[in-house]
Amino acid sequence: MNRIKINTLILGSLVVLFSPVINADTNRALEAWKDFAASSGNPDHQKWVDEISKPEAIALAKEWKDLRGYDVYDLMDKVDLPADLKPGLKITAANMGQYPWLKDYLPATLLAKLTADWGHVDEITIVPSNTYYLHKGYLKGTTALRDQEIELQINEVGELLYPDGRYAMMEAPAATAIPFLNPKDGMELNWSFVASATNTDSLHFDPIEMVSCTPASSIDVDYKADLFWMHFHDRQMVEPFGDVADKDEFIEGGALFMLEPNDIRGLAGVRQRYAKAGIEDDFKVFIPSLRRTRVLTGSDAQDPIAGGLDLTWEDWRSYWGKTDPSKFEYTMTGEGWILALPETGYVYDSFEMTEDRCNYKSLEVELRPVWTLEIKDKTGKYMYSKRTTEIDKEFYYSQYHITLDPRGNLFRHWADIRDWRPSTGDAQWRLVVLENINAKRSGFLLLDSQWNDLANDVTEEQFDVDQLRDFK
Amino acid sequence: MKYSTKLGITITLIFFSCQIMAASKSWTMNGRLKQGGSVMYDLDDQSATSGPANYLGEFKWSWRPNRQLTVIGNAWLRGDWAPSGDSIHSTTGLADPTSAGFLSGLPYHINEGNCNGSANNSVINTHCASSRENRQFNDLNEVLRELSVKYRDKKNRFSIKLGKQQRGWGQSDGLRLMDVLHAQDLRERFVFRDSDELRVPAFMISADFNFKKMGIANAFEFIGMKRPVFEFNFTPEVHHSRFNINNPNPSTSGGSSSGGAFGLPYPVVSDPKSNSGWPGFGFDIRDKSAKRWSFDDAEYSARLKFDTLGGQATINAFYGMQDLPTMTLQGGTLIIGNAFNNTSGAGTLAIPLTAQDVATVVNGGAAGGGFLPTGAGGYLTFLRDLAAGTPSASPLTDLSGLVNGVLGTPICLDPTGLSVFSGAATVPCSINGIVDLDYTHRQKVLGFTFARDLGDFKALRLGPKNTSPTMRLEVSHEFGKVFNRSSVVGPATSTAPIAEALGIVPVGTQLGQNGTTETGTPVFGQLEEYIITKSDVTSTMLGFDFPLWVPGWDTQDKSIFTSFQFFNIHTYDADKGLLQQAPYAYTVVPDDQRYATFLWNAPLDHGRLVLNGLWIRDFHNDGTFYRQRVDLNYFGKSWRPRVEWMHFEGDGEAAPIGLFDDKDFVEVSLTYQF
Repeated sequence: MNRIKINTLILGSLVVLFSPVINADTNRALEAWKDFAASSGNPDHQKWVDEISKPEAIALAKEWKDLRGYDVYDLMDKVDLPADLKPGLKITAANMGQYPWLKDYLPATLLAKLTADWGHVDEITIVPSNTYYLHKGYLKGTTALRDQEIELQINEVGELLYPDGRYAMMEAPAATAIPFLNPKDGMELNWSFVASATNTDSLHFDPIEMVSCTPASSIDVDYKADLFWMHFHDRQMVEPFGDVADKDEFIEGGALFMLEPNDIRGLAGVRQRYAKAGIEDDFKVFIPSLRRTRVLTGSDAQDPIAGGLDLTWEDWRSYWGKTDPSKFEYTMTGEGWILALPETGYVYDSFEMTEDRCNYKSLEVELRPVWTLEIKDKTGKYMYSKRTTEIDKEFYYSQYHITLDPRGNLFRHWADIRDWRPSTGDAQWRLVVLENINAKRSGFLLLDSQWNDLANDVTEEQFDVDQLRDFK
Repeated sequence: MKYSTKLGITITLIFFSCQIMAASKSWTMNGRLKQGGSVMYDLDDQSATSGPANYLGEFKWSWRPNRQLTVIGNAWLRGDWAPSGDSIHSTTGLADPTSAGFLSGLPYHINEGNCNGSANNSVINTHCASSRENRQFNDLNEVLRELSVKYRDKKNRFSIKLGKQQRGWGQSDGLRLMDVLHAQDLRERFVFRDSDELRVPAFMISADFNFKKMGIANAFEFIGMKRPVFEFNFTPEVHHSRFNINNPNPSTSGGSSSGGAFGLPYPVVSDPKSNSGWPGFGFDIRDKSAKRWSFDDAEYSARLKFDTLGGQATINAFYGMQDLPTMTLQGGTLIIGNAFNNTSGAGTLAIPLTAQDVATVVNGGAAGGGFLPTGAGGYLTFLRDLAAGTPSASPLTDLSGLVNGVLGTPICLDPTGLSVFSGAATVPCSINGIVDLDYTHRQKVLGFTFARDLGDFKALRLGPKNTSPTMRLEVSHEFGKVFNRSSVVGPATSTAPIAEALGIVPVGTQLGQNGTTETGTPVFGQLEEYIITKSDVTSTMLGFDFPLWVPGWDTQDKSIFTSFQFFNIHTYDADKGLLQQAPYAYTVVPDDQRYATFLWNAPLDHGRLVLNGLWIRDFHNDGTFYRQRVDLNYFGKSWRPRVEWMHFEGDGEAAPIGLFDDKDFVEVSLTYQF
């Protein structure tokens, strides 16, 4: 018996002695997920644990934590949370009344889905909070900004510049960096959000399925397309590294090649964002019924990408508007915590749709720390009088994006699940819950992200509409 | 192996191939099945009736085995259930000798399922055609829309696309200025359908060279031409535009024909001076095409695409073949035994004539001259004398006397069939002029296009969403475009081969001709050297596209796409008298021909109800066209019902609108797509 006690003491001493080493191989998010996976028994949860347990993931999480000065659990330590807001809690229409705090943590648009007869959600399950971070290129660029003491400026027309006036988004290190890790105001927050871009050098959905349902929960429109995105400067993760040739005026670009339905098959569009303020996007479309390329005005980014969809070019990645303080007012209205969809799309689908694909049997959510950015229209001529974006304090990307129409009514709601790779930190997308609250139309984007050989898969070919037209 | 077994194996293989292909992301497959039915309500000689019932089945697939290669296939089978489902049955035919001034046409029935062309049938039944030309377009060239392979260089320096394909050039919609790489298939809705369905695909080798990637862009960039890309196309397979003619002439090569509602009307054969039709005179219309596959007649085209002045520009050059014809007289046939140009009946005799002979029969000879007997004036003189109340000798009567070799005892009745003008003649006769639709002339075009978003001009930010228009400009110059003349001064003298062959005159004898100025149909009775000429043509289009958000319409969920274009087509030396398009558009080319178009597309009710309108105005010919489409996308992604209305208003024989003045219709179609 004594012998056992002595061994226990020795073992305990060793644990205490080597605890820093053990902590370097894990983090609190991982530990929370291990516990949760063990209790849920869901093999998908265990797969996720396996993914975030990879040494590269743990190391990257630590480096970002060091750079930011915190991770989600550090922030969590500083707040009082409702006692029953814990992983494993399942929320339904039947029990939602037991949790009066829900209205403070779930956006009203999502909370309403528990009782709505359109875009309905049967059950919402809370899972442990992850620790998120961007890819190594952003780590390198943001670290360089800090180490070189580069203080980026925002000028009166809303451009993000180096102190000597060069465009920040066109050259390293700021082209792939979070310009303001701890934003002080709305404009800084806006730029940190904009700069996080897609958090990948190249992106390809093969395909993206874009669906919109009627209020009666039948699919109204269902499009499929190949969608590409490219970060043009200071590329760190995917070849071509550095700058993409011949993109010396553009920051980034998106391209779309429609596959279904047949009547718009072959429609191809390329939209590229100029760095300079006041110049609208370069927007060219190949129209198969004409077999000809048309230049479209970049000033009309408010049109749905396709008929019946609640997705405009300005809503891509929740917000792809061009920063313009003459038209919009950018305000950081606060910070706090919300329950948001987890970015687990790389490993498993944390949602289950109903058979009609217009409602959900289940959604998972996790607790996230956010800043709130409000972008108000000053012109009265924009499709949204106000955009409200909950921007993740670890990920610098939106967790929710909710808009009001020009009359001040709730209009569109965006929430997404990223296809995020913990071991590299880069991300594409898996699901976007996209809704038109005014019209009671639920919808979604279901995205099949391609990760293999992105260097050869996404090239300048897709950003020249005269080549893209023969893509498939 | 039994046929059914083979069929079963084939279907099984296709099914499993499709499954395998569908499972792979490197393959795509799409298609559609469409059936339409229409009502035509403005026909000149007929009340509202069922019109074309077009059908279409299309299959597209692509295979992208790797980033360097893309293989694309596209095939369709289409047609019109005519004559079964198409009740249009009347159109204008050959001149009716019993009508006043011979200006009415003999009843010519199209879409007649039972017409047999027999001379023993009634006149009506001998002038009919089944429209089976439209029943199914099923030869390989009509079915295969694309079969191409595209190779891209890994470094994006160049790409080459080879195979059956189509390429669109230019910035204009509706009218073609620089979009001349392909001929057009005008058989179903003439030019009034989507341009990718109009173009006749051809085998091409197309190459794009990115000068920037190749390291040779500096010189271009120095003069402000950014991102230059050079495109070169070699097209050894040459097509000309295709159309069906509502041709009542049964002795035409291949017989009478009908293109249904959108067949081109048979030319009104009339003499403007006497204001009378030409009874007994028809045209046998033949195609004279460029070599289908050759280096000699191959088409070459190139364009340089570059960014400049905030927009995108191209400089284009095309050296190809004309895909619309000129018309030239090549010979003729004297038909003895039938007054209505029908050679198929028993006892009819067809006597071949040369172009010179026909020209002489038309124009006649001076008094005492020519191979015709003294005083015979030819068709024109005959008609004019008749109109003046002083009948002269019938040219057919005189001609039959010659060709029978029975001089002094001509047997053909005069063309009116009234023996009072024909002496002792007793046999009904008629005559065909054989004309070529000649597509063998070269087309040489240089052009420039420019398109630009005007968003950086703050003053042009318009409407409730502050949107701006885009501008499109296109200019083309065609060198030496070949025209038929609208006005011809006939020769004062000419030879007469038939008279020479009969030994009436020595070879080479110049015989007197009337030498007068002729317009209208008589022009086609002249020899080629007198009726073909060339002029340069400069065409300009200025267009603006604008996404319209309607002020005060708060719930508008998508902009209305609007597009306005203005065209000016300037023809140099037009005052020398040029025909718009022989023989189907008799209008005379003005110095400047102007068109305007307006297109609007309004998706409503979340894109489920789509209204699409197209208005075209032909200022010179006072022609107006309007097309309204209503798409009812309420039935999921596979079913696409559409209502389409087309309205034509314009002067007859004024292409492209006036030709179809009475062909207004409403079509309902249903498409299943996958």
